[in-house]
Amino acid sequence: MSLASAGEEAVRNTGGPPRSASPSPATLELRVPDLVKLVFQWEQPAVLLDPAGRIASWSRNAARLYGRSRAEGVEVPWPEIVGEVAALAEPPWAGSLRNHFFCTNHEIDSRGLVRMRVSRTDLPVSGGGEGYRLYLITELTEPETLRSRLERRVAELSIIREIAEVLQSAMDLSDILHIILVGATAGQGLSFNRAFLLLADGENNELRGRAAVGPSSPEDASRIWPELSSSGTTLKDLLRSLGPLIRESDRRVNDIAGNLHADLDDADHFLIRAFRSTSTVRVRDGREVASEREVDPALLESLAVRSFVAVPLVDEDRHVGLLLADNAITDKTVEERDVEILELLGMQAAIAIHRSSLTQELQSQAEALEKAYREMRESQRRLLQAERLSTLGQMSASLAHEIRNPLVAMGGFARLLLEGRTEDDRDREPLEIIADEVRRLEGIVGRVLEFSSGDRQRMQWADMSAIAGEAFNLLQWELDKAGIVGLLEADPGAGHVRGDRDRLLQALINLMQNSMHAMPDGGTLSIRIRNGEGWVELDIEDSGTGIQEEVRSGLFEPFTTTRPGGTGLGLPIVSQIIADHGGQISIKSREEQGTTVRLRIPAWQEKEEDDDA
Amino acid sequence: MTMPKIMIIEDEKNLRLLYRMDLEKDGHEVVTAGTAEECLARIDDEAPDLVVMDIRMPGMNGIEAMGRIMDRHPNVPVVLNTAYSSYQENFLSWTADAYVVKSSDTGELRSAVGKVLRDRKQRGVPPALAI
Repeated sequence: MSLASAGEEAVRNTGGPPRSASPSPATLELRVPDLVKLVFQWEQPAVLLDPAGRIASWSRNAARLYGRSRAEGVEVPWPEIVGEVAALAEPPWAGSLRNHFFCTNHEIDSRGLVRMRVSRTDLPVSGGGEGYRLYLITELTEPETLRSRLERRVAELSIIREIAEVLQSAMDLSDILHIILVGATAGQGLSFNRAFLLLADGENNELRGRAAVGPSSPEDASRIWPELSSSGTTLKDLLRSLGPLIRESDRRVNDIAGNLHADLDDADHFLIRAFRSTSTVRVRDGREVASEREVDPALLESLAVRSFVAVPLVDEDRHVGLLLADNAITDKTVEERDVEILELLGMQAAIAIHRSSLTQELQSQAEALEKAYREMRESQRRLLQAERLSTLGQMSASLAHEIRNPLVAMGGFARLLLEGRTEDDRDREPLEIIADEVRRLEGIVGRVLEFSSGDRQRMQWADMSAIAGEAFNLLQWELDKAGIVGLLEADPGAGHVRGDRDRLLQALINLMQNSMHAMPDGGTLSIRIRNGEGWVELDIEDSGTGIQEEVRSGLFEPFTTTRPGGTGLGLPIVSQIIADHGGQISIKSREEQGTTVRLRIPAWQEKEEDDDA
Repeated sequence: MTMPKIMIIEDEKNLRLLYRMDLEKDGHEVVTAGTAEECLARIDDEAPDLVVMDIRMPGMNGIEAMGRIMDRHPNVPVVLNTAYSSYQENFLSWTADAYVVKSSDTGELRSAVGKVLRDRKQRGVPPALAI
C-alpha cells in the first residue's frame, strides 16, 4: 500500500499524467524510483523508458496490450516490443524538446490488429540526468481493441463451426447447397446480401449455377429481412429448416443462377478462371481487383451487380465449384474480413459437396449390387419352382395314367352289361351308377393331366441352342459359385426342332444340375449341338466323377438316386420329355473321367409364322 | 359280305377283352395281340382289315409298330388308341388314320373304326398316306 500511496501522491503532485496535448510548465522535478512506482501502478496502459530507450517500468495493461508478461519487458529496448517501424514513427523533433511536457499522436499497429494513440512525454528528472520518457497509450476505437477483435474472430469461427456441423450431417446434395447458401446470407451467419453456387458438371463438361439465396430488390429485402431477424431462430435451426430449396422470394436469384454457365474448357471465361483459381477473386466496380481486368459486362448485367466476391471451392486439389457472394442490396463494401470468413465457408462447402458426390457414387454402386443380388435370388427361386412344379406335374401325370386304364376297363364293362337291359331290370340302376361314377373319375383324371406338364405340351418350332443358352443363363450364378466353366458350342443353323420349349429347357437344366453335382470341386460343363441326318444331337458333357458301374443300369428308373435328398426323378423326367419329343437319350460315363449324355431329337427346319408369339 | 377283321394290340388284358366284346357286338371279327412284337409276327397271317393300336406298351411302342405295318401293308389302316392325349401333338402320330383317347365310353373308338372302314370301302382303293 505504501507504493500505491506514493503513486497517488506523485500523481497529485504532477496534476496527473497529461491525457491531451496541452503543455504545462515543467516546474516539478520527479525522483526516478517514484516515477517507476507510479507507472507500475497506473491503471491505463503506460510505459516508462529509461534514457537508453529500454523499458524501466510498464503498467499491467501495457504489457497485456503487447502480449507480454510484465517481467519479460523490463530492460528490453522499446523497439523490440513495438517493432522498428513503430518506434521510428515518432516525430523527429520530439527528442529535441527535452524537459518539456508535450504530446504527439501517432498510431502503432501492433501485430496488425490494434490501432492506438500514444502520447509521449519527456520528463525532467531530478538530479539533472538524461530524460526519461513516458508513453501513455489510449485505444483509438473502442470496438477495435484486441480483445473485441478476438471475440469477433471467435464468433466468426463458431459460425463456421455451426455450418460445418450441419453440413456434416447432410447427405443430399440439394440439402448441402441450401445449407451453404443460407449460411452465407443469414443475419446470424455471414450476412452477405446474396449468394450463388455453381457446380462443375463433368458429364456435360460445364460449370453451371445450381442454386442461389437472396432478395431480388431493396423492397423485397425490406419485407423479408425484418421477418427473418425477428423470428429469433438460431443459425443452426435456420440451417436445418430444409424447406423447399427455392423459396418464393429466392425465385429471381435462382433464375439468375440457372442462367450462369460456362464451358469448362473456356479458359478465358471469368467464371472458369475464378473456378480454376486457387484464391478468391474480388471484383470491384466491374473490374477484378488484383488484375484490373474488366469483367464481361454481360455477366455483370445478368448478376445485376458490379462488385462481388468469387470463392473457388477446392477440396484437396479437386475443383468442385464456385461460390459467388455480394451485397447487391445494401451496397455495403465487402471487407477483407468478410472475404476471410467466406473462404472458410468455401472450404467447408467444397468438402461437403465432394463428399456428397462420393456418397452418391457409392450409393449407386450399392444399388446396382443389390439389384444384381435380387435378380440372382429371383432366378434361383424361379428355377426351384419350375423344378418342383415339373416334378409334381410328372408325378401326378404318371399317377393319373396308371389310374386311367383300370377305369376304362371298369366303366367299359359296366356299359357293356347295361346294353340291351330293359327299364325294369333290377341290375340296371347299380350298373348305371358304376358307369356314371367311373365317368366322373375319368373327368377328374383328365383335368389333372391337363394341368400337369406331362399332358400339356405346346409343340412349336424351337431352337435348342437358344434353349441351351437360356439354361446356362439360369444356372450361371451356381456355375460360378461351384467354379465350373460353362461352354456352349453349336454348329451354325443347328438345333432346330419341334417341341415344347419349357419342357426341353427343364430337361437340359436337370441334366446340367446332375453334371454340377458330379463336379463338387469345379470343372467344365459343355453343351455341343450339331445336326445329324434328320436329327439334332446334343452332347452334355462334364469333367466330373462319373457314374458308378452298379447304378448305371437303373439310371432311368424312377426313385434311383445317388444323392442324399435327391428325388430320383431327374433322369426319368428327362427321359420322358425326350421320349415325348420322339427323341432318344444315351449316357456314356467313366468313373473319375466324366459323363456325356447324348440327346437325339428329330430335326425340324420349318419355322412357322406365328410361332414366336 | 364277309365280316371286317379287326386286330387289336393292347397290353392290358382287361381292355383287350372289353374291346373284343364291344367290336364283336358291332359285327366285326376280332383278333388281339398283347405286344407290338406279337402283332408284327402275326399280321401277315391274320391279314386284318384294320388295326387298333395302343401306343405305350412294354417293348416296341405303338407308333414305331405303326410305321412298320405301313411299310409292309400300306393298305391296312391304323387307329391309334391311347390314354395319352399328348401323342396327338406328336407329328409321327399324324400318319394314323384316326386317333382316339381311351375312355370307358367306347363309343368314340367304335365310331372311329366304323368311319375308317366305310371310307376305305367307298374309295375302293387304298388312300395315299395322309401326312
